Amino acid sequence: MSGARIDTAILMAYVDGEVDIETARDIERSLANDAEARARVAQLRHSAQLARAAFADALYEPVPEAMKAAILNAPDKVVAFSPRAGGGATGRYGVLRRWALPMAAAFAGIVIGLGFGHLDDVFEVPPLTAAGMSPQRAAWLDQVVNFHKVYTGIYEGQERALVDISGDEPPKLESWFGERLKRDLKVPDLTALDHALQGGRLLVVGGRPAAQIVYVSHEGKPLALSILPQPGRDRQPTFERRNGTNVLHWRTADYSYALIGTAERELMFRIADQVAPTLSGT
Amino acid sequence: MPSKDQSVGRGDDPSFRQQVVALLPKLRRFARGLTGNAADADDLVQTACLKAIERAHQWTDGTRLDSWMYRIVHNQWLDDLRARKVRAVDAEADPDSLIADDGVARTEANITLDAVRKAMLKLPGEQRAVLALVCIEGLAYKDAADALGVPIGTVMSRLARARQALGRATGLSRAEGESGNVVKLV
Repeated sequence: MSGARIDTAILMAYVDGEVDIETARDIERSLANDAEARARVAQLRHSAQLARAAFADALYEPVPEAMKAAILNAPDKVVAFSPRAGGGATGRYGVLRRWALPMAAAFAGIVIGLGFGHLDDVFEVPPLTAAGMSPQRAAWLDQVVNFHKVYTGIYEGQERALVDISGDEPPKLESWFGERLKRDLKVPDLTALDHALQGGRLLVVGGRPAAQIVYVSHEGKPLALSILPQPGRDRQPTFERRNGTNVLHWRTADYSYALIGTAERELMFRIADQVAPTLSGT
Repeated sequence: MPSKDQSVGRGDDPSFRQQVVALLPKLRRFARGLTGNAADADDLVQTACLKAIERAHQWTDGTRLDSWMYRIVHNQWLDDLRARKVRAVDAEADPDSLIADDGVARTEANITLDAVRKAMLKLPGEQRAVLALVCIEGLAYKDAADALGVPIGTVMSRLARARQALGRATGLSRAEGESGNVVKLV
């Protein structure tokens, strides 16, 4: 396939996690020798990040009580309703901004005032790996993904063996990891998303301690939430497949996070939406 | 399909309404992506939710309520646009023709999230809907196709055009010829 151009639709499906593992491997082999295609992969990822960042705040604004009441109390037949009547001094319903705002603001802040020629710096495009990201970021993701795969491969079906520290008492887990990561850590509760906390294990990534909090779905599928102190610019959640595993990663307030497992892309985003405010302490 | 006994009165079912209320944050975000402003988005979501309650018997047990709700919101949005006599659907149009000169000119510096929102609003409606469902809401192509009532191939072509246009409008990508050789990766 030397000299031929990889179709953008195929690259887009790859970026969005829509291709099977064999196709993904074929694409990654092609990307390794195709800088132009790697740039398109980076652009496709950035377009998704931008769109998501642009509307991130909306998810965390409180739902107007009038709207909830109208839905809960409406008769079976549609009745007239005017949400516009509920305006307030801070907007129609007032706005409570949580983690999404600082993240969105930070994202906006890094792009304002920078010229087109600096975009590569802004988004850390070059140098790129086959998957289209900086080697440093790829390295930490590869490590935590491989840790997860090794553990789940060895201890398949033995969820409790996946962890060093039990999740039976979350405060102890939080204290233990908090000391090692030198931060306050609130372990997210994912029971509403069908994932039970199993516990955590301590990893060493690039000479630094990293936490991997492990959950198991009601189907017995492990999901790891990796946390690594890693100063740098905030990054919106990005989904990709690495080494045959689904990964959703982001960075905020000098910590990198990655969800790793077999959960589908949409569920990963839903989980990220839920855990991000908990992890950022907002 | 639900039986008659199951379907009748589902709109009165408090749990059904609670499930709809639980979806409101995501529906509002989706609607914000479609309409471009909070006020119109909330009007749209409100109307769609009330319609969903009225038509609750049409929802099939065991299927995804969120996809069904996205579909109702999207259809309501199209209805609203038609009512306002605004051209809503032009999925096959050249994205460049729908991006204002000032957006294309992009002073190389003013790439803000506001610019992204504005660029998104300049997309044809069907591209905007796909972009919102896949890139913002995180739906898989199949689920987005179900929500919009179109084939997966249509989702992909609209999504590719939308991303290309968004990239150009915000300066993230340069114009590129899409007629290059296609590599079949099997």
